[in-house]
Amino acid sequence: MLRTMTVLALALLFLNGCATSRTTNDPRRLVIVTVADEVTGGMPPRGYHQPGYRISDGAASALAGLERDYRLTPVDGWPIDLLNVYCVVMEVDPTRGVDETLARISADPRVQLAQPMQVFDVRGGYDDPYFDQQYGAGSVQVLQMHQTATGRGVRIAVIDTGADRSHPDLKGRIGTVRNFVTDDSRFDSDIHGTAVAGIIAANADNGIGIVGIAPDADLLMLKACWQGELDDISAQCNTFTLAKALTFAIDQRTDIINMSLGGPNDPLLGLLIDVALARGIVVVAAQDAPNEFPADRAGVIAVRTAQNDDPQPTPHASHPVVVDAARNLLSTSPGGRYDYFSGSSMGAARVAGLSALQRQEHAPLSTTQLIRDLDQRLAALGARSTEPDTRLVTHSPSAQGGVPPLSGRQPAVSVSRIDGT
Amino acid sequence: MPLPASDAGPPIAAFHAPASAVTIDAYAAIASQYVYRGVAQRDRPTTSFALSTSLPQGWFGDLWTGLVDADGWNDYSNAHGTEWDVDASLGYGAAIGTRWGWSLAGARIVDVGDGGPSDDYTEWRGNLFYREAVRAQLAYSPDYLQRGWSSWNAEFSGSHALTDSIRGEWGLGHSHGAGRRDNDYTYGWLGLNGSWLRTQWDARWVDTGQGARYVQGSNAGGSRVVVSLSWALHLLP
Repeated sequence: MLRTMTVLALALLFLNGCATSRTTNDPRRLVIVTVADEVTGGMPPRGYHQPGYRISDGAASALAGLERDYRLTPVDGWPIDLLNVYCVVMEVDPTRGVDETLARISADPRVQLAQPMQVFDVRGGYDDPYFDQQYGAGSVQVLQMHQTATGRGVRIAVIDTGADRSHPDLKGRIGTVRNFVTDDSRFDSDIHGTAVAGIIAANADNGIGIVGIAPDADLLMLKACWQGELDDISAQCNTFTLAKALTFAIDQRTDIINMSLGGPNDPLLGLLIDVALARGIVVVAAQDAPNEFPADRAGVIAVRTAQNDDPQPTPHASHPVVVDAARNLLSTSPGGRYDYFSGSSMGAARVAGLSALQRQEHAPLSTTQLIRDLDQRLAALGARSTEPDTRLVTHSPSAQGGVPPLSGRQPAVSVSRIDGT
Repeated sequence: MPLPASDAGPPIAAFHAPASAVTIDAYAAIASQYVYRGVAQRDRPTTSFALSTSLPQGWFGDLWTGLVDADGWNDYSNAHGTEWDVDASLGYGAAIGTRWGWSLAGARIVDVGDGGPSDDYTEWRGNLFYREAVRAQLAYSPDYLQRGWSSWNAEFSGSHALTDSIRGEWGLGHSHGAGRRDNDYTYGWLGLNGSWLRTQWDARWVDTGQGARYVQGSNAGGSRVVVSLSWALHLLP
């Protein structure tokens, strides 16, 4: 009997197909695939602890079939319980076209979503030191805002690069940290995230440095973007790292998610953002161009930087837009230093901070109320100073009629300040 | 659209991000009987519970407890009192590439409620995994059941998808007590498992060879069918 079992076991082992892993390390050949994954996960055998991911039998079977049928090599995978899917990064075989393979995979009934691995850039890359004051004429207004709210108790997930956790002006502000880019172990020397963190929540009344918009807010620094050179503020992220960071931020029940980054439309990240919005999380994103993701996702507060030579922002019927004159903002820099930063990244950070003040002060606001309030606060900060003819434009049936609460899927609202007529 | 490779950031290895957080999972199971390494330690319905936690760095801790029948250190006759076996382990595990994984752990096995002399013992375990499909384990105890002799167990098992919802499973194992002819036996199993309504079900036929005195002299060995249901609750993240 046992001999029979041995033969069967060896046959099944062969059927399991210990195929060799063949990867080319070419990111252009990577695709993201999700399959349904109802995580049941029965009790594992006593004494066995398997490192790595857990996966339902159905998802495992589906993925094994996809690998075989389309000659895909798995690179990594993890369950996204929020979406009831198992998500895998796979590399397309070098002998096959990526686009063609993606088209075929997308049509496969076992697949819920298939897309290319996409790359995103953090926004706002120049730091010309034009001014020597942080808020200029808006300082008084900041003090007034802090009379009623400082962001205390509000949790903001900053999905960005790492940040200088030991910076004196960020001490106590950064609680949870995660690095979703393990090939880049740097964290505290990252410039972009340090600047964004300082604008949002640099400590107040500590006798040094600057004051964040929400100086008592709690930051979760989720590193999903990797910086290039040590002194280069630019950084990149991709679908994989951003999906992990978003999932973590949602699981942690944060109040606000700040994404000072942008790139091409991404279905997987879009689904996760929808989940965040449905749970009442405010999502703020930088936007440098129309139709840029994630800023153009319905419900996301898109923050554009007003610049004189920019075309007027195009009102969009499905998402709120805030235009912020985020130029030469003084913020924290790695190594305990300070520097000036500009761009929509910093504008998004400022709006995230203002949203934290709103969150502390008010019960959930309607989208229209929220945007109107943000607009007024930005004007108080002097953000309107570079836009002398700005006006508030609302493009939404829901903004004119009933105002649904912020929790739940965001209504189709577009509010922007635009120059000119 | 995707950026060119030169702009696409770190190589593929960068995508091997760690588990995003500490994980804590809880499990519960009921079974028609409890068979461990080929020996029925309770031949009537039983229950077991487990708690498993892991850190992003690879460290993990598992706590398992199950209701067994036993009478002292050498009798699995299933005729006497009730006790809980507790298996507490700490270890470290890591992936090897994208398909393989390994883990090493030290475990302490404690009997609670048997009333007899202590037969608690320590066991060292090494596991090798090929995805979710195949696993191998080598376990070694320097003083098995505090009887003054060492023991090892080797187990090789796996599963294979038969349909989208049903998997076939198999396993082979051998237990050996150093210098003992009365603890040397081979066992194996074949079965099916799957999930339904968030419940994992498992039905297997287990056959244990003759070779251990306490197996030979009792109804703990031989052939038997075991059916179990289990549930998981992911507490973190």
